[in-house]
Amino acid sequence: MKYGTTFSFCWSGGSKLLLYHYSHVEVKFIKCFFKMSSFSRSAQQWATFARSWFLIDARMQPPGKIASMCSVRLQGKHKPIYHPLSDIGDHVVVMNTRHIAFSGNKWEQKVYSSHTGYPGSFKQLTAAQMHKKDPTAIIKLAVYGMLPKNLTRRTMMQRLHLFPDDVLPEDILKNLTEELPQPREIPRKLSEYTQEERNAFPMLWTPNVSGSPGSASIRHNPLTKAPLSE
Amino acid sequence: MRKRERARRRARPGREGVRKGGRERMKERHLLLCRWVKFHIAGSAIYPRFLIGQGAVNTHCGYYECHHSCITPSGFRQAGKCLKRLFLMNEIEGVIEPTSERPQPPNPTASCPIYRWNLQNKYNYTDVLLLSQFIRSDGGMLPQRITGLCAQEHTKIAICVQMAHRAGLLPDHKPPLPVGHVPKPKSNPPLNRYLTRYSVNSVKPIYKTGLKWCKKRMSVGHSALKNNVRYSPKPLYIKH
Repeated sequence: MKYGTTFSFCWSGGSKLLLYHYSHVEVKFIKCFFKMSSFSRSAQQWATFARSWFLIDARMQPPGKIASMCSVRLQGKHKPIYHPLSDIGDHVVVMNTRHIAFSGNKWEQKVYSSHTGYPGSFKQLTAAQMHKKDPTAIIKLAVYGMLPKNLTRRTMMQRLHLFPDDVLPEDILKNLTEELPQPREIPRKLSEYTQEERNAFPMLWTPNVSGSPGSASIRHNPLTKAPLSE
Repeated sequence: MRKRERARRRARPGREGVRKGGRERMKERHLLLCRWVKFHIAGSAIYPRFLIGQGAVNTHCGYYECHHSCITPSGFRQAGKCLKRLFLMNEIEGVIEPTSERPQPPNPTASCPIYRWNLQNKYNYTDVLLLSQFIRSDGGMLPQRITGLCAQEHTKIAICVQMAHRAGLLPDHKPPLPVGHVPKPKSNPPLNRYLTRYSVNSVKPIYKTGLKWCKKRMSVGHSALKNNVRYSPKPLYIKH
């Protein structure tokens, strides 16, 4: 396995350093112990107006929530210096878009319609069909619908990078500065619980162990023939 | 079963020398059936312990599926009957073991186990440890008369189990495939989903959603769980 490490400074929040290696994206945060106010004025201005690169893992996440997080950061609304004319949006990289999870029956019920303008070209695809055709299309359309409907939308969409799996190209990996937490908590499968956890969970009910199905509820101790009390 | 056997035995001319007594035959048959079952009396309750390989595994449910054979409810009843007979005939020894420390329910007088543990309105499809106590090994629900659940809670648990199955949270509780079945290679990998209310094959796409005031909404989750405890100020949206 090849490892490569590069460091890049991120201005946001308390300054953080980012470490990653190429085989799959692994992000660690190490808190720096110096304040941004100790920077020189030019360094502070550079840090304020720099364009960051955010990473979001969309595995088992609802695409709408991912899209809203993306749209906020593409517009620059997460920055206190926001202005719609300023073009201070950041880049957002979404990986594992193939493994998004829709709530409810939306895979079958949600329909994406399109019309090129020519007669007979009205196409309607369910979310499942759309996802099979192009695994990044659902998130792309969701983000496009959430961005402001003006000319800056196209440039913001150019700054959105979608990848169906967790394989990211080298140049994008080098640019990443921060990984955002996932919006939805992924529930654990029964097979992922350890035996100790399963034993620690109390038994809510005990079966009535007796010979015949319609037996009385009073059970007797076979040794002493005395009735058992639960 | 026994009457039929007796009639058969009477009809068949038996060899005089080799004739076995009724009790001996019964013993053989019961021993064959029970060779893998060890009977223990633990304190005030009777819990069968099934020997699998080297270790003995405690079962909390009579419908537990052990590795070598599947115990159907009738099979379990049969085993219980012959164990009782063997015990009365002094074939097996009862050993009194001290009960392990089990947590007591906070409300023991209630009839439904959910009310006994004060879990009403507090569980969801993600609480798999709770749901797995009310399901069979092939994923189906256990009957109400066995588990002791009241009607409303039984339906709620059934709904949560259904949602958990569709979300893929119970991977080991699938129905057994027929022997020698080769699964076809699937063209589409399974899609991830959660809080699915309706069966996947039964839902039709909404081609015309309608205007905002009369939109055809897609339902998420189930209205039976609308009274669940919520710790956030946002209300529970069932129609998305």
